[in-house]
Amino acid sequence: MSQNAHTLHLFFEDSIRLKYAQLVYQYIAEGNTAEATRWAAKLGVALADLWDAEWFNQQVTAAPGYLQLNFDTGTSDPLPLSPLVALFGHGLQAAVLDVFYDQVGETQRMYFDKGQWVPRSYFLALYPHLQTIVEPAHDPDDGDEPGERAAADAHDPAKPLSVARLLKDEAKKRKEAQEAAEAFVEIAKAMGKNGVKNTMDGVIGVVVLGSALKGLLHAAVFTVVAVLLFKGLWLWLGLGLVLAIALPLYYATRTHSELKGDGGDGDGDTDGEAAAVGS
Amino acid sequence: MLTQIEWWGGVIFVLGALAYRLVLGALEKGEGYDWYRWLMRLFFVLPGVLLAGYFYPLERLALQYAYLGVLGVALLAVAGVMVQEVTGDADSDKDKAAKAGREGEKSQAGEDSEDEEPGWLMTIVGVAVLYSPVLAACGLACHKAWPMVQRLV
Repeated sequence: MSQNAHTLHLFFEDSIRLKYAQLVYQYIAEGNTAEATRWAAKLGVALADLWDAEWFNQQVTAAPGYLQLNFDTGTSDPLPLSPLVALFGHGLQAAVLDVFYDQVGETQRMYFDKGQWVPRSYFLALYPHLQTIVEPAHDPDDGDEPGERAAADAHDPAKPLSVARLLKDEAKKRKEAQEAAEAFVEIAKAMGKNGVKNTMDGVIGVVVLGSALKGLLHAAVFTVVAVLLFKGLWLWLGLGLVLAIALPLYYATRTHSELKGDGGDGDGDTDGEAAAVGS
Repeated sequence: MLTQIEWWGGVIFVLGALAYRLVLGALEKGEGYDWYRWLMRLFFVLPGVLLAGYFYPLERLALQYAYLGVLGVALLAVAGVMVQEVTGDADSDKDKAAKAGREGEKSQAGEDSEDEEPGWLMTIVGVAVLYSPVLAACGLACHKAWPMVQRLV
């Protein structure tokens, strides 16, 4: 079974809270939820924020100055950001999350500092002494320059972004994707009932029509607002008419090319189309 | 009509709204460098207020002072953005360098050398065209404010 293997390095502001967090995760690893809950309360956070019952293969390594957690999740599970959000409010200073996606054999590493997701270069400038802990040692046999592999694995934000915001964005994206997938299934079912043979083309047609209607709505709103706010009734009505033709065409064409992959894939690539609609 | 704004004022508003959407859309969403996004919002919103005020008589003294105050802040915001746009931002250059580093120095290096920066004249022309609604609004506001300043001084 495929899974995502996580390594989370946690660096705390003081040794007391490092000890509390270590006890929480060691008790979780032993399956002693009662004690883990007790120590989580001492740390000032709920156990549910620090650990998801769906995560498995957990291991805890305590070292002077930091804590290393190893655990696995399902391939469709989201990034484990909730412990970071909770701990950054309770003594966590910096963290590095390493995810190995064994389905594709790729590693992704994210760096966090004081509640923010930061670029690798920024993190290493602040904590150069942590590089040997959070990144794999350089292997001369690989033929890479020192740090080249780690730089390639780094998943950096364009600008520092708060972990809480990242968590919220990820949750929103997942919700939207789920809603889109459900809507897709509903439309496909309805078309199947109505005897539409090529369901995929039907769904694409509905989505394109929806975006054309959105363009029409935008044109209508623009016209009403402009007529109400500005003098020159005929100018705004004329412009509104032009937009009522141009915007639906533009939106529909854009949506169609997005769904069809710029028309280059042809009709055979239904899986790709389904993924595009689903996302 | 709910306002006294002339049709050409409406056209400036619409073009300004388009420029606002283009510029703010191009600024990456993130939490860093928020001051620049706020400066951009001021840069667009204050001239919008000034343009709307242009079509009203503003007979009360308090309104005249308020108009001059908004004009002062708007001109500062415009000056700030113009200096930023023309001289370029050292931070954004750093961002680009960091991005190039992340996405692979070798492939990027070739592309960057081909994708040369435009000259200063072209930069000024581009900025003037993009921000022409804002500049027009500020010009009209200055035209309206000048007699007020003369009366108040």
